[in-house]
Amino acid sequence: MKIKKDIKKNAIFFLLIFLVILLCHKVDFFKNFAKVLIFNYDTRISKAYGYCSDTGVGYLRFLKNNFNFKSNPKIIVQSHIPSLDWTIYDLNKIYNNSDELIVLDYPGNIFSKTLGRTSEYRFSLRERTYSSNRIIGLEILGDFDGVTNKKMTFKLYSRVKTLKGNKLVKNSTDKLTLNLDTIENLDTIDKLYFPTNINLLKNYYIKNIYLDFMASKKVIKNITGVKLFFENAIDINKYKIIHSYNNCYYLKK
Amino acid sequence: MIEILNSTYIFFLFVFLTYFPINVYNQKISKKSFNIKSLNLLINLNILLILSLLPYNILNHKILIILIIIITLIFSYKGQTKNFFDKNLFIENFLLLIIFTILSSNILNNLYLEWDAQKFYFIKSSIFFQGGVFSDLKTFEFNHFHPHFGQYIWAFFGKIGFLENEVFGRLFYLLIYCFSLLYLSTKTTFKNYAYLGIFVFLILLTFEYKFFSGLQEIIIFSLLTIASINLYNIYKKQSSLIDLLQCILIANILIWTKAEGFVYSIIILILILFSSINYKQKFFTTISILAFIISKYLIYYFTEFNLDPRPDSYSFNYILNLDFMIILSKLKIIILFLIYYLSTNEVMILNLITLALFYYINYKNLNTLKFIYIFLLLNFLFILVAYIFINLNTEYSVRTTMDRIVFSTSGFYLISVIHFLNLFNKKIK
Repeated sequence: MKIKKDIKKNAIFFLLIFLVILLCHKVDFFKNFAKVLIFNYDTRISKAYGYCSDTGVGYLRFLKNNFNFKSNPKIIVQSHIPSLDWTIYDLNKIYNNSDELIVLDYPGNIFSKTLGRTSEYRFSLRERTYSSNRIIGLEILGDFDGVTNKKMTFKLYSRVKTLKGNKLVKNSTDKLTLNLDTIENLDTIDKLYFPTNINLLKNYYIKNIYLDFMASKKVIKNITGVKLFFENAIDINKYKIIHSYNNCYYLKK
Repeated sequence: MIEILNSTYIFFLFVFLTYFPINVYNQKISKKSFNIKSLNLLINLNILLILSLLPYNILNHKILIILIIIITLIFSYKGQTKNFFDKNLFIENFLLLIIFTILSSNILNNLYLEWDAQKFYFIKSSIFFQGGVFSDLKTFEFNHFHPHFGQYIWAFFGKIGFLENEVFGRLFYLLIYCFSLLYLSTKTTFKNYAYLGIFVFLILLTFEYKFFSGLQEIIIFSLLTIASINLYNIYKKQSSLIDLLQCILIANILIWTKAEGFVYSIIILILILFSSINYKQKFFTTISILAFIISKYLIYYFTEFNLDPRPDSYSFNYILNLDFMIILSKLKIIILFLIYYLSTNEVMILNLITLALFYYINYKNLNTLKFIYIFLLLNFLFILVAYIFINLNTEYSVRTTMDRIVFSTSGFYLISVIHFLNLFNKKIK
């Protein structure tokens, strides 16, 4: 009887303990607590964002802790993420001219993006392309066996966020023609590369790219993919490399 | 370990802010100590707001700040140390500390900042953290995007500890959130410590890391939760001047926290005008809140800040050129997404079920909760108008922001759940 009474009296405390345990479970308390005890802030934030990736806060913090920046360096990334300026922001250096540059996850001087088929005649790239001023090549993947028409015509459309005025501007090329005459053994190869020289507006990023083929249905049906090759607006060879880790660079003009 | 100790230090600092300038055991002011604690917190936040506008950064003198707090506490509670060892108070604060430790570990470990926090808020907080003042905010290109107060508090608590790091600033968001829910749960009429059980249950229901990842919505959530308690007292005719004062102080903090805080301040004013308090008090409240709003715009005007918080999103030309068909198509998107986000927010589901049940059972006597229904109506109206008038792609805007808008006001309705539980408790008795 006495035990029953005690339990009744303390029921709310049992309930409280149960709810607190439930909360510990919900927020992974023991794991979090242990990590806070074991790892320091820099290690934890590197784990949250990655070290040398397009969100490489880990590398940025390493640079901040080990180098004396003269300014707030410009941070260049290749993907659609919020600006990482907050990582290294220094109020006392905002008026200093920035000749310092940090490039995260540098894809190389030339990088490519694959366009997916979105309609019978159209291939498109929906993701944003950063840091590029020029398309230098085009690769067509597919089966070219029996291509009777020895010319392939296409037109390229893009939407560009301009650096000047920060506006979305529609951009398109004239009709471009690829001459297949010069290629031997066309029926045995599965990809064709054509050099191009398509200048893009000076941009913050290219929002969409559409490529419309103007050829017979039979030919287009056999095209499985299109790859565009971009020239990177940042050529790290033109800078002095102060520090590098994998494909992340701290550069000076 | 040192980070855990610093978090505990921040916890006690926050608790101290609820204990002065008014003595919480002063029965003449209010019989409920939590009511005074809440008033103290709001007074101190308003003082910090004023300090944040000064051309001098007080964060460089943290030892002086701590000394002032300790001396004020000693003078306020001279000869009352016995009260601090009260069993109920000890259990309440001990549980608050346990919950805080559990949740703060989550924040200290995850560290990830949400998009808006990275793009807009962190740098504003850094400016204060690095010794800058209000006018230095102008050096940041997105300074117009929402007012600065949340970021000032972030910097204040990030800097005030013996370890200086932004993450401790975000622990303030956690503390005000816990405080508001604990305050709300003290409104239950259950015996013993049942209210603490309700407090932990509310935490279980509402806690998500992303709300503490530098976003400002959690401050709005907490302030509106406290405002709902004050308005509940006012509508229940149990109010004292303290409730009215708290509403006014909350309105002032809201307008300096987020752009939409201005709308919530006006809604609080409307709710006070609909209440049964006397005309003098209504007049005083109206003048005070309007004066705060005008002061903000005057400060922005004289310091040459952009008066338009969202110049890219709203323009008169766009609003004037909206035709009926565009409005209809926008409404369709907004309503569909509103239903979706309401149905994915557990707190709102609980709130809406409670409000519907209460209306069904007790529709003849809705007086006590009338303000909740008015708030619900005005809030939905605000959401509709805000998204109809927006100059951006409606679906994109709704997808990226509506869940946060729904969350930030969800705390306001929780008082209806408490009221419903109290009615249930009364029936059992």
